[in-house]
Amino acid sequence: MTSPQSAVPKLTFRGGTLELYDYPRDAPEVETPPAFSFDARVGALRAPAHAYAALILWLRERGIAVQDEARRYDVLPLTASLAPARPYQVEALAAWSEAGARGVIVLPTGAGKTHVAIAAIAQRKRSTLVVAPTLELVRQWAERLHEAFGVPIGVVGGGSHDVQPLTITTYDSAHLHMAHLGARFGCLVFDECHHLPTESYAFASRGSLAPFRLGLTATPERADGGEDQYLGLIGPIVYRKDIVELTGTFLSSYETVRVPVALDDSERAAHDAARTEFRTFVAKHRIPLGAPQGFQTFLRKASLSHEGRSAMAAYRAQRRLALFGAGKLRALAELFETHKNDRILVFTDDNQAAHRISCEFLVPVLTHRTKVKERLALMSDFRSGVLPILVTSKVLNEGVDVPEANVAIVVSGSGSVREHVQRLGRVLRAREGKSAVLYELVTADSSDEGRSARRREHSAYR
Amino acid sequence: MLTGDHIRAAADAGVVTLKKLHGLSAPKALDLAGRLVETLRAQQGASMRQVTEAFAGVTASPREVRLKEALVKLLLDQSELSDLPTADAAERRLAFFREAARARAAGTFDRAALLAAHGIEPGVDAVERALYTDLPEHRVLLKPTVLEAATLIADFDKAQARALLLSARSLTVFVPRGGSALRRLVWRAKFLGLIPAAVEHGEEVAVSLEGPASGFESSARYGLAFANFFPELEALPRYRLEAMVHLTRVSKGVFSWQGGSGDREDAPLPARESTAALVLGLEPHFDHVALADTILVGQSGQLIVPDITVSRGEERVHLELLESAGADVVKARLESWPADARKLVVCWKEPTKTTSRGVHSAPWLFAYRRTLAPRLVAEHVSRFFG
Repeated sequence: MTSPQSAVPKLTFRGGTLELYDYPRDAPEVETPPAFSFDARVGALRAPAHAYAALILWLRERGIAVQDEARRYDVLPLTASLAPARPYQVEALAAWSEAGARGVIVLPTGAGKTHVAIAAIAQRKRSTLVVAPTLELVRQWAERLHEAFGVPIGVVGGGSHDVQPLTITTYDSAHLHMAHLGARFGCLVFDECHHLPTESYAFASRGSLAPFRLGLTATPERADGGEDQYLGLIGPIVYRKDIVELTGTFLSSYETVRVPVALDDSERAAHDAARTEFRTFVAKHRIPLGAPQGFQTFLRKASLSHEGRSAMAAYRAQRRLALFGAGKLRALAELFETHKNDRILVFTDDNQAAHRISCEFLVPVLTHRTKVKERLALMSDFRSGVLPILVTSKVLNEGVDVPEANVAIVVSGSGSVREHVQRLGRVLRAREGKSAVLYELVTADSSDEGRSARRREHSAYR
Repeated sequence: MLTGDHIRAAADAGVVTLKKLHGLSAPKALDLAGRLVETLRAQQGASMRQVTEAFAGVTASPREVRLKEALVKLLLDQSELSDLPTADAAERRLAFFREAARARAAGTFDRAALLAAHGIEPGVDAVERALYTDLPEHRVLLKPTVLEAATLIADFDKAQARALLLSARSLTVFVPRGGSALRRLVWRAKFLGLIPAAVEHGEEVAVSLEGPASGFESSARYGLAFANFFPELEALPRYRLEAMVHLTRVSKGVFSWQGGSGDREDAPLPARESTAALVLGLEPHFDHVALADTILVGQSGQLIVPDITVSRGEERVHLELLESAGADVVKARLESWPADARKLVVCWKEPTKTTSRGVHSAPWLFAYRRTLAPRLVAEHVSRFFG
């Protein structure tokens, strides 16, 4: 009987994992490759796809031949057309190469992380998948890669599924499609890689066999401590420069201005009454709001009674007033007047406030619900100055490349340092003669002050 | 489909249980559902914002709030909403904002005048209604669902069970023995990217479902596939399932459920059906091409459900059709089949390999082709019959 079996173990890719068939695992003195375990469902050894590079090295060290049917990526004849690199960009690329082309580079927004990534792709010459958090960034990456390499660039996400040797996708799409795409790229670039260490998005790394991995971020730290996972998912942090190290030379000089705003009398009365009701409920039920699970405890207890639900409504009411009272609209009007010749990005905590500003001042708003065509038109008009003011909630927080923007107004936001640093980053990209300013509108005597203090805990605001 | 936010479940001592009807008595739940159905029907022609506001007016006690949200979700899922306007709204909006920006730059910006020139009332809500007609909240409720409150409540826990599977890490289903039903489940599981493994379990067949990466850290990713598999089970006359569910990182356990009220005929899958018909048509010497009720016990006890079984007299040849697989995958499958069974595996959509391999005297045959060719299948089967 002839068998289709071959003597050489065979490696295949399936659904974001590697399957190793015909490996003599039962033979004496034969070790099982690291990260692999036997999967009785298919009668093969199996490991997450990201174990690929380590497996190949491990097999080579032991002189074990393997029929590699997993790898489906190409070596590409890539040459990048790039402006000369800045000294820190050269250092960053060298540090990444020395680390075996696996690692995270931390550079402030506007410092040219994309430039480093393009140089890295040109150096490794492998099919590359770039993963970015938003469709606007996907579009930007596609433009930059096409300019640099002059080849067609694939896009997966936002209604497109065009896979090319150089392809851009979003974290959402990478999570969905890595089970099919994971063998097709030898190099991964994770833009704004602080998004990666979550249970679902991490599959964009674990489900890929790419030996070369580059993470880019300005803000590697995560509130949940997820930065510990970079080592396994991408590699160690190999290079780091902070905003203050580059300001005035490679980044625009800037100032941050805190604008205290008062609530109207009626707003103040409503705010204080609501806050008192919320605090009374918290005190009565001895809810430790400052504890890690404190707010969860409040949510749970609030759901159990009419009193609790009223306290929850009160909490929401006081928060809404603190985040977006009438005083902030007046302050915004003054700032629009002061900066009538500037390019202004307005940030809010939620879409409702963004729409309110849009309809009050008759300026455009861009949110996650804005369709691609309109989004492109808005960004193009903003860059050219046809629309000098653009309101957004969170979708433009990260990575959007608008060197012309020189004024950021944070109307409302969370207490996240990362969010605030990213928002500042939108106006830091250097341009001759440019000086940037970030305004933060803060409602006095409200929870807004606490949020403001928390998000300013970064060297960029000292 | 409901989501995790809509269900009430708890884990205790390794067992996850659903709180049926969120712990409400059936009459109370029925009353709530009745008021929601009435509210929905009264809103025909209203915008989704108005519908949302109307639902907000339906009173619910704190214990009923989540049930109310879940029922609203189910009602809206089955209602017909208008499509959103396409490009026109965005283009009109862009032109309007450009005009406003030009006026601002020229120092002639007058909000009231600009709005009046476009026939828009000055209030913020009116401006939003006029400029953002393409937001989801401006969709119109064209046709409320005809679902009655009693049906909604009767099926509610089924909807909860399905949503709970979104948090499942693995799933085992127990179904009555029966070739076609089992084949259909296995086919659907494969379609959803899962790896099914079937074994006999008393009078039933136990089908374990996991994804390729289930043994690793990303095992949460198959929850949607499990939830999408659920309707396939519900179409059976009866089944039961056990799922390993993680409600939170620490709260987890086994969830058990039984159901099935379907009367689905064991319809063969299109590719198999047409292939079987053509095989029979091409080779008149075959007596029978069976699609149902063939289950083989594999060498390690698992059950094999061939896609097609061809017979001539007492002789039988079993076929499994795979879209794409490597030689060793096929080998693993062949080895798991009964040792003495005559079996044929045909793989298609393999762009790099076009050869067929096999030995006529051997009890198995294996072929690669670019397309699923019934003529080739018939030829190979003929070889078995000599």
